[in-house]
Amino acid sequence: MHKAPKALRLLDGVSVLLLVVATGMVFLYAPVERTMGLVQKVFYFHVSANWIGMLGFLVAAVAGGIYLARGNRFWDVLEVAAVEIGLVFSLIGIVTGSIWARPIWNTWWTWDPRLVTVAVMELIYIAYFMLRQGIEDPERRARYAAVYAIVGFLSVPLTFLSIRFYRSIHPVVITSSSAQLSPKMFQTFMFSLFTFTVLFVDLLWHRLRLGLLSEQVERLRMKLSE
Amino acid sequence: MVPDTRTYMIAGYVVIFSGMAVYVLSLMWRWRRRLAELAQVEEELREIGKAP
Repeated sequence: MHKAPKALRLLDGVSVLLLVVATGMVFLYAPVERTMGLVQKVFYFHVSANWIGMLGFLVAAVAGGIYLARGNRFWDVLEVAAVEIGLVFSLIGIVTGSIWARPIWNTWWTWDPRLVTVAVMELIYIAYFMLRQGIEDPERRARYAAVYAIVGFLSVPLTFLSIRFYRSIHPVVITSSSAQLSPKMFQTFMFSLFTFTVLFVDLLWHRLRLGLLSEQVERLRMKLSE
Repeated sequence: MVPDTRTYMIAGYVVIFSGMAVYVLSLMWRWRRRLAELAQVEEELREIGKAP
């Protein structure tokens, strides 16, 4: 159980390879945007990181729902893994967005609907871990966390749609009718999204194994104290 | 003329790659620590005759 399965090691290799190719496409294939200059290249991984964040929170909500329905601890472990990865990548998205904003908006931060909703979303999921820390009984903790992951997920579509519903200075790159990108930029963008999705599956698998190992250690500790 | 925003681009990619690297390293570190804890608990269980 403790040695990584062959498929996971293969996925590690594929993820690294895809990341190298995506980075190459960003710097060597995608053209430089004329009004923003080189900083626009942050866009490809900034959006991809945010996508992984939201995907993580979606997986957590689904896992939470399945845990409530079945009561199997596996889904609780998966939920924690997905929230953790979602938090890390959302934070990367926020920080890179701030770096991109500085030369373009002339500020590191502004109280724009997108920035506010994404910050609130991040705080909601930080509070998820605070909630878990505050409950000692594992079953109760898993049940409350599952409900929280489902309710907390409401912040995700709100964040995604904020630039479409409210007046915002944040760009809307992909609309229902078109993408505001040149063909080479669009290909690089789609490849980056694909790369980060594969990376998410890889990291989720690793984090899930870690969670299951922790559960095993806890079970044996309980046996020791009996 | 295209504005010179190279420094911000470099800063952005430093954040992205270092953020991912730190997370991967934290996974590896936690995994090793849990394995060490598992070995220790198993050893203690063996000593009191409750081996898994």
